[in-house]
Order: sequence, then structure tokens, then C-alpha cells
Amino acid sequence: MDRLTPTSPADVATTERIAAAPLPTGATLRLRQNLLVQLVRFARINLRMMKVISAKHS
Amino acid sequence: MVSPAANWNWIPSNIWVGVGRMTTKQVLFPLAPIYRRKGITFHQGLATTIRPEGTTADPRPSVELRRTDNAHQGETVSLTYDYLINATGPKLNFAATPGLGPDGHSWSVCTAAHAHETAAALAQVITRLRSGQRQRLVIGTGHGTCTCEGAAFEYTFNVEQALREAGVRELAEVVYLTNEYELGDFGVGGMHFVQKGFTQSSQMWTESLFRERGVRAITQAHVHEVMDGSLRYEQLDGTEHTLEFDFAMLLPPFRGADLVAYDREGNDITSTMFAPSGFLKVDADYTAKPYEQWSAEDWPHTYESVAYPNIFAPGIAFAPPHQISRPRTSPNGTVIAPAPPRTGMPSGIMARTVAETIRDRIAAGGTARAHGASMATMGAACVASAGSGLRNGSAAAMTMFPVVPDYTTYPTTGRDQKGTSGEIGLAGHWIKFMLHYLFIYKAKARPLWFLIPE
Repeated sequence: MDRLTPTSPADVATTERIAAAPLPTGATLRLRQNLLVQLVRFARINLRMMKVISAKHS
Repeated sequence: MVSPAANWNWIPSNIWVGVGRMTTKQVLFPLAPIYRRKGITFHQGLATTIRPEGTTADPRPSVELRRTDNAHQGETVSLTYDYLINATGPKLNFAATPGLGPDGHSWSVCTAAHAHETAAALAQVITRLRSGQRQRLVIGTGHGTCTCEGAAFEYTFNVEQALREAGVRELAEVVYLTNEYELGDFGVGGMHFVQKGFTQSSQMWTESLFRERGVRAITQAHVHEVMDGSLRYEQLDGTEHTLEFDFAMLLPPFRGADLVAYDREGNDITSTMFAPSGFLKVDADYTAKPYEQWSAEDWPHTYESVAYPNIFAPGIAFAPPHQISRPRTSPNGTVIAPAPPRTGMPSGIMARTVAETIRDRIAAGGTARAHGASMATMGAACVASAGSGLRNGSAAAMTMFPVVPDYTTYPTTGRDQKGTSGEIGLAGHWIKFMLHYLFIYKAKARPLWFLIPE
């Protein structure tokens, strides 16, 4: 089957927004997979999540 | 404890079963031995009827269930109770859209068995791609009122990764079909978080990922019908479209479990206790009002049934007062509005809150004040997988505080910027992978399980 062509205004707008969205550079993509960097991020995200979990909810 | 299933399923990892990265054995374990070890009576059965005032013959409140274990299949049992926790989760309402689901023409990852079938179907698609046939894979929501868009998002990017790793990505067109008004809504009205000195939206952040991974998107869609190899959907502007596919994984909308309720005289009080959606009415403000008048105070705190305060409904089982995302209707009257997510961390917090209330009431003779945990004052952490693998996995790790935006307390974005964040990378995958083992450990009530937070 042919590739999808956006026809409705919503699809055209979504397609245009995706096409204009920031594209990560090669360096950003490498940082997202770098073991040392991600180890630090792992600790930071866990701390952040623990803060949200421990926040009062009553 | 009453459950129709013999096994417990760590549902978040069904995504990985659905791409063949995990087996059903890795996400399931039998319930009976756990309850036996903890001294909890386990009835394998499906609750069908609640009698909160008992009957004229026996005034004790009771719940009726139909047993589902092989030895007693179909037998009816009545259990009396002092407190009842309706934590059934959702009924997967595939019937809401003709042709939706594994009994129709699309696949699902909502149960481990569904995910296993879906993985086999995906493997066939990959085989066809390897033979040079172009394939279109449609993944998303199968109805305008679905929730769990995050799960559809996860499956989309895990499939995309599986196609790349199989070396067939170029021949495959991956389309994300959603009822969200815009990408990044996730049924919570989207999020805003600070990154590199800028407040950015989850919409832009999500669109960036779609661009990076070459995934197409159709938003504002309500699927009317799924047929063999095609589906018919309507968008918010009222236009109808047909989309052909070679593979479709579409989530169903949820409704409450099929429970009915009777008063002591046998009168049907189902509509008193339950909303039309089948979810249990609790201490929320169910007054119908426009989006502009929605308030954080509409959301329940104690999850107690107003009609019967010894009945509770944490998690998906409680009837939400309204959506979190702005609801929208097409000119044809079709509601296209994500339902509010109540799974994951919030449901764990609600369940603990209800347990604490019951504990206190048992200790104080039923007069203790109920504990509270409103979704408008609790945060949530969500890790959405975008690919698996300890070296090349990826996930979007998000936190939000609170889940339900509160524009009175946080006028700018409705949420606390310090508690709302998002980032994507390998670390997110490690967290999701770690949570798989931690929560299964916790659910098995292994030593010190209670130290693992909700």
C-alpha cells in the first residue's frame, strides 16, 4: 500500500509539527546512550522520583 | 482476596512480551502460594454481585462470586464482609468498537496472553518485511475515550526498535493513532517542564521523538470500526477516514467490572453505587460542569463509597469526576477525549491509603477518620519505554506533581515545576527494567517488600 498522506487539517498540522520538532544531534543521541552519563542520570532520576513519591498527598 | 485469575501479571512489562523481548512466564506468577504464605484466604473467582445491606435472611453485607478455578468452575459462593475493597481494575471493553481486539481484527498487549499472541503476529510482519513486502503497522487507541495512551506510545517505539534491529525499518511504516488532541497529552492534559533553561511542553518533546524515530501520527481520532486489514475512524472535525494496515495493535477503552448491587429487599441499586461506566462512585464531586469550572477539589480523597462507607474503590475501579485532558466532541456528537489514567503509582498510593483507613477503623471500632490521597495532591512517576536492551534501551522518565493540574496553587502550568520533569535515555530503561524486578519482588511479599515504595 502507498505511504500515508496526511489529508485532514489535524493530520497536516501534526505532520508539520513533527517535521519542525527539534531533532537531537548526534552528540545528544550519544549522551543518551553513554554508560557513564546515564549512570549519573539514573541516580538523579531515582532521587527525583523518590522526592515525588515522598511528597505529601493528603 | 478474590481474583478471577490464578496468576498475577506485572502489566507494564507486557509491552516487552508484545515484541518478543520477554516471555509470559517473566510477567506472571501464581497468586495462591503467596496468599497461603501470608495467611490470606484466596478465592479464585469473579465477583458478580454486591449486597451491601445483606439480605432479609442474613443482614451481613456480602459479595457473591463465581468460582473460576478448574475444580469448582462455575460454582457460586457468597462471602460476608466488614469492609470491601473493589480493586478490580478495568474491564477491557473491546465490544465498544466493532472488530476491535484479538477476537476481531486487531491485537492487544493488555494481558500477558494478548501480548504473547501479538508478538507472534509482529514476527510474521517482520518475516514479510524480510521478503521485501512493505508493511503498515498501526498502533494506538481503539476508541475515542481510551486511556493508557502511554502504553500505546511505549509499544509504538518498542516495535520501531524491533523493526530497526531486524534490519527492515525502511520497508515499514509505523503509524501512531491516538485519541489525544495533540501528541504528549497522555490523558493528563500534557505537561510542562524546565529543561536547559526553558520551559518546554511534553508535546514538543514527544514530537521530537516522533521525528527522530520516523513515526507517523494521527491525532484526535475515534475508531468506529476495525475490519480485516483496515479501520474506519472519525476525527474531531467530523471527517471520516479509512486507514489500511497490515498489523494493528489498538488498546480498548475501559469500563468497570460487571458488578451489580442489591439492597436488603433485593431492589437493584447498581445505579446508586456505580456510574454508568461501571466504575464505583466514591467521595468525588460528580456534578456535571464545563471544563473551565473543573477544580482539583472535584477529585476524591478517601475512595469511600458515599452510599456505603465500608466499601472502597482504589485505582481504576473508582469513577473519576471527569477527564483531566480537556474533553472534546466532534460536530457529529462523537466524544473524543482521553479518559484519566489511574493506574501505576497513583493506584498503589490509593490502595495503601484505603488499607490504612481500614486498619485504623478496625483498631478504633469503625470511627477513625479516613486517610486521604487525592490525585490532585499526589505526584506520579512514569517511565515509558522507547526500546529495550541494557546497552541500547531507551525510555522517557517523567514525573509530575500533581497528577491532576491545580491552577489555583500553580497558576502557570497547573503543576509544580520542581516536581514535574521529563528526560529520555538509557537510564530510563534501566529504571523501568529495575521496576519490573522490584515490583514483582514486592508483589510476591518477599522479605522487606514493604520498603519498596509505591
